[in-house]
Formats: sequence, C-alpha cells, structure tokens
Amino acid sequence: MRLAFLALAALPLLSGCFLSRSYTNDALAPEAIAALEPGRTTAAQVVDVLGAPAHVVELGERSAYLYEHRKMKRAGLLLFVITLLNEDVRSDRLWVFFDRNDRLTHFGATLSAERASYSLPFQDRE
Amino acid sequence: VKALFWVVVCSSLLSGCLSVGYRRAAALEEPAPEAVSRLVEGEAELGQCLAELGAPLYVWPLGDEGRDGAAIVYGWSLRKRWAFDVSLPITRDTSASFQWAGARSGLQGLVLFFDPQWKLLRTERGSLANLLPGEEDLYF
Repeated sequence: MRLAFLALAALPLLSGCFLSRSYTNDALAPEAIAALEPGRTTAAQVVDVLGAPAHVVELGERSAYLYEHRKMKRAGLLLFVITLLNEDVRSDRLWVFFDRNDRLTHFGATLSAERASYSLPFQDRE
Repeated sequence: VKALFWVVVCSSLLSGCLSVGYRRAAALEEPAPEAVSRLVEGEAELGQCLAELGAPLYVWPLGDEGRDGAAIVYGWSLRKRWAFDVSLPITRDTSASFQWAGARSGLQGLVLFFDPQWKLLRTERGSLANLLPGEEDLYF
C-alpha cells in the first residue's frame, strides 16, 4: 500500500521532464578547414566553399570572417511550482583572416559543438 | 510519507500563483591555462595564438577601424541562477506580485591584444563586462 502510494505520488513529479536542442547555422566541415592554405587561399575561395560568413570584421585594410555553428542542449524538470533547467551551449567556430589583397593569412578553428550534452539540473557538464 | 503528501497537495494548490526556478547554463569553454602560458607577450604571433587556443569568440578592431591592431576575445560562462515569483489575486481587478532573481553573471573572458603586425602585445583576463564595456553580451 505504501509503495503504491509512493509510486502514485512520484508519477506527477516525472510528468514534466523534457529534453530539447537547438542549432544555429550548419556544422563546419573539417575537410573544408583542412583545405585552407595561408598565403594561397583567397576570400572568394573561402566563400565558395563555406558560404556567407556569419560575421565580417574590418581591420583597417584587412578583414576577418567568422563561421559558426552553435548547438544548445537543454534538460528540464517541472515539479508543480519548481522549474529546474540545465543548458549546455557549445560551438564550432572558424575565424579566417585576410590581408589587403583578400588572401588568407591566418585561420583558427574550434570544433566542439558535438560535445554539447544533456545533464541533470545540478550536474556539471562533461 | 505524510510530509510528501502535504508537499504534493500544497504544490498543486499553489501552482497557479507561485513559481520557483533554477537555471544552470554553461556556455563555451575556457582556454586551457597551460596553452595560455605558452604565449609570450611581445613574441607570440597571431598564428601561434590561434594554434594554441583555437578560434576566438570575437575579433575586435582597435583604433580607427582596426588600424592600431586588433584584439581577439575568448569567452565562456557558467551561470547558476535561482528565481522566485509569486502572484496573488487581491480583488477581482487587482493582484499583487513579487519577483526575485539571483544576480546575473556575465561571460568571463580572455582578451589578446595585437599590434598591426599581429604581434601579441598583452593579455587580459576577467569579466568581459569590464574588459569590453558595453559589449559583454556580444555572444548572447
């Protein structure tokens, strides 16, 4: 009897669990990043392969483009009056830097969007 | 068991006027301290910094449209925030409400400043609200 009561009491507590995820832009292709060659690749070639950048920064006569794919995973628990949420946001980012002739001088990439994870409300992310 | 019963009953009755929320939000990742320590001010060049730290969150022009160089900005955050909201109907046309939320914490950041030849001048670390006033919410 006691067990049945506890089970019944626990049921509504679990009714508000949810997981969600959202993305911004497409994932960056590692092979496209590996093909970048400072001193050779031009801005036009970068745009041909990667598409329009998410952001362009003018640096005097030089410029830098940002490509970014962001992923958010959210886990939530609704317990009548209490809402508990845990969110993890990670991103793939690529910055490409060009000289005054629009030729690639530097680039830096971070690919970690796939590491976004679901966690319990008070749990540290992996 | 009795206490649990009353918690469930009271919570059910109050669910229309009382809410308590906890949000834990982690965003991006802090660059590895050992990688940062390998960057020598006055010697390191942009390529080495990008190789050690990966892509920054943002690139910031310095001076007149970047003619004085640029800063690259790494940011990350771990926000833990409680919030409390209660609303009570007083009469048919009036109600009283009270809201409270813990302080918001912004992005923490590491900013690398470069001269026009992409030589690392200095690094600064701390709250992006202090390092880049007015631009602390550039990511969110």
